[in-house]
Amino acid sequence: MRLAIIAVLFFREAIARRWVLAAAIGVTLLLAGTASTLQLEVIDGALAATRLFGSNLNSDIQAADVALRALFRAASYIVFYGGLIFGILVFSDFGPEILAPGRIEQLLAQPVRRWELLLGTFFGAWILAAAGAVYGAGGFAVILGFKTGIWSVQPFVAGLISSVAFAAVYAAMLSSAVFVRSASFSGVIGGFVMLMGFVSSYRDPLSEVFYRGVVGAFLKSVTMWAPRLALLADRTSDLAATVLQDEGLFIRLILSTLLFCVACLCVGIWQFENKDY
Amino acid sequence: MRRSSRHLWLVCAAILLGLGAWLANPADQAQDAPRKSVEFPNYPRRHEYERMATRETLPARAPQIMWDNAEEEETPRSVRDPLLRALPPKEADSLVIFEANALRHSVMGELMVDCLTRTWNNPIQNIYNYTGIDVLSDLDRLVVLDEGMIVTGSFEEIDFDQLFGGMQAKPYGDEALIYAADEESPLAIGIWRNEMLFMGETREEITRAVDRIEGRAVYAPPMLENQAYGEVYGTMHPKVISEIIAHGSPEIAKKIAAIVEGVDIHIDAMNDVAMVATMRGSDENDIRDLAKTIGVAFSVGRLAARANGDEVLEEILDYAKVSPSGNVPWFDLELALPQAVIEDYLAEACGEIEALEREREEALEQESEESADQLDEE
Repeated sequence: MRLAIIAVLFFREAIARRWVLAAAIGVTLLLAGTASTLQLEVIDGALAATRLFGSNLNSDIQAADVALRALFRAASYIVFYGGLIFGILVFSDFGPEILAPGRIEQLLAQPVRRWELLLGTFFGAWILAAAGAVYGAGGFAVILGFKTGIWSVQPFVAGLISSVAFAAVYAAMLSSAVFVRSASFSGVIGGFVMLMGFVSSYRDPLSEVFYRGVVGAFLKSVTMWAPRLALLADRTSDLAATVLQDEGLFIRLILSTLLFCVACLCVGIWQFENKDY
Repeated sequence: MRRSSRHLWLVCAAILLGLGAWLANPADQAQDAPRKSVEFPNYPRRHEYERMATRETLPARAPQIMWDNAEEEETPRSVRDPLLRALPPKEADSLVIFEANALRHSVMGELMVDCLTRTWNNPIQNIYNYTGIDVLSDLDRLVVLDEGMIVTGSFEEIDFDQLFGGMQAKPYGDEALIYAADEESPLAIGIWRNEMLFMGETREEITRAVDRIEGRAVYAPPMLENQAYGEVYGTMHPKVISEIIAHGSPEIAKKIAAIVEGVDIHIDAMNDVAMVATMRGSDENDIRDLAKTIGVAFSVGRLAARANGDEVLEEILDYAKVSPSGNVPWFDLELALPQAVIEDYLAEACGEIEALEREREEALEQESEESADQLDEE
């Protein structure tokens, strides 16, 4: 219950800054623009033509749901990586703001535990990010559904899963803010985790090509602990395009990302509990 | 107590991080697992360019006959591959070239060879015993024409005099031998440079082919070297395509026979079997309509397959695509058979053949036992 109260405080803070509104308007405009400029000609279940702003994008004639896979896949990547970058930029100062002198004392004076404060902030950000991802990906799927008659729930699920990647990145950002109360530092940590998430996804081929011997082994051991964000993005796009093959591996990727997220939060809570305010 | 509980969060973090790394480990190892996609032969690949280069053994000599669509100022490109030069001119109806050596090493080829060596009394060995030709290593390409066949490969070890015993051999041109029953016999077999075998309905077809290779006759190759890609490629007359699909789609078959003037095909069969067929006509609007009709037919077929629970057909039609090309009178049609489908089909077919073979052997054994018993009684 107290977690929910903290999360609501976070929402109020976000709305007060109006950036949530700005983001929602931006995504809505993008979806509305897509709805009005993207024309899809479907005949008996076959996608015969695709036009954007009146120009022919693709004249291949193919079963509509097969042809839409590429669109769903592209949308999934945009939501995944776009959401990560947007989230890093927008949420980087939230943790430092809450931990600011004066503010933190006021919050700690409330009947709330320190770990509840940190987790509530985290869940507030995660819920907002998940809502944005589902709105973006799901809205696109709804538009395509009305235009083609092909309805798919996979893009909604893909939007939710892309928010798992954001959870891992934001957990590291929030925990770093407890150590160093700086929005820039928080943003840099977020970018670093995102980069490590990419490198760790390709640690074997990268270490073979670029680094050999002791350096390669060191890099492989360091990247072992990072979440495989690029692999998760690839498998999420497979899910959005309904061509996911290894469900077990996909679940392992999601769980390992979530465990990284919880581990970062544990570190942040440990520091938060031991710090004098 | 308080000190140890303080560090509990760190311990939890370390355990969770380790668990996460362990869970993600199989993902690193599964990175090379191919994601679901089929590569279509839309253009020659690197290994095909290398293959073409090794086959350019003839000196350059430009074709004397210009193609219908060639511009007058365009210099016709020389064809140096003797097989392509030997082919009948562009006006010929159908010709299909099989890259036998490549197909033998494909997934489908390996499965078929394995099946044939286990069943039907090993026909590959029988062919070798009868002709001296090892079809698994001596053959390079097989060309099927409307009226004949050409086989290329390595035939130095073959004793053709013994193989064609009873036929007279006469040298022809610079490097050819023509085998025929007698001078008047129209049926003949030609050998060129111990690397090309011609089988035609008339002797003249073979001599004309040899003349084209050796420069005594004009040549107008139906394809250039850079069009010789895929494991199976060539041109087919639309009536052939029309007859193949007439049973399943009579309306489309009629349209193809009426609108299409030629079909160029390229098939990649090393893993999945992926085909690109270019349907050429003369009227842009008719061709565009035909493209839409075929595209919609694929889509409807896929929906029907899904409704009937036919997952195999649905998966095959997943890859079906028609690609019109703007304001030109041709379009590409793509179809694929996934490797898993081929493997299952061949395994089932081979199993049925083996079962039939076993039944036949058991029946023969029983017969011989019965006749032996009868003889004993007598």
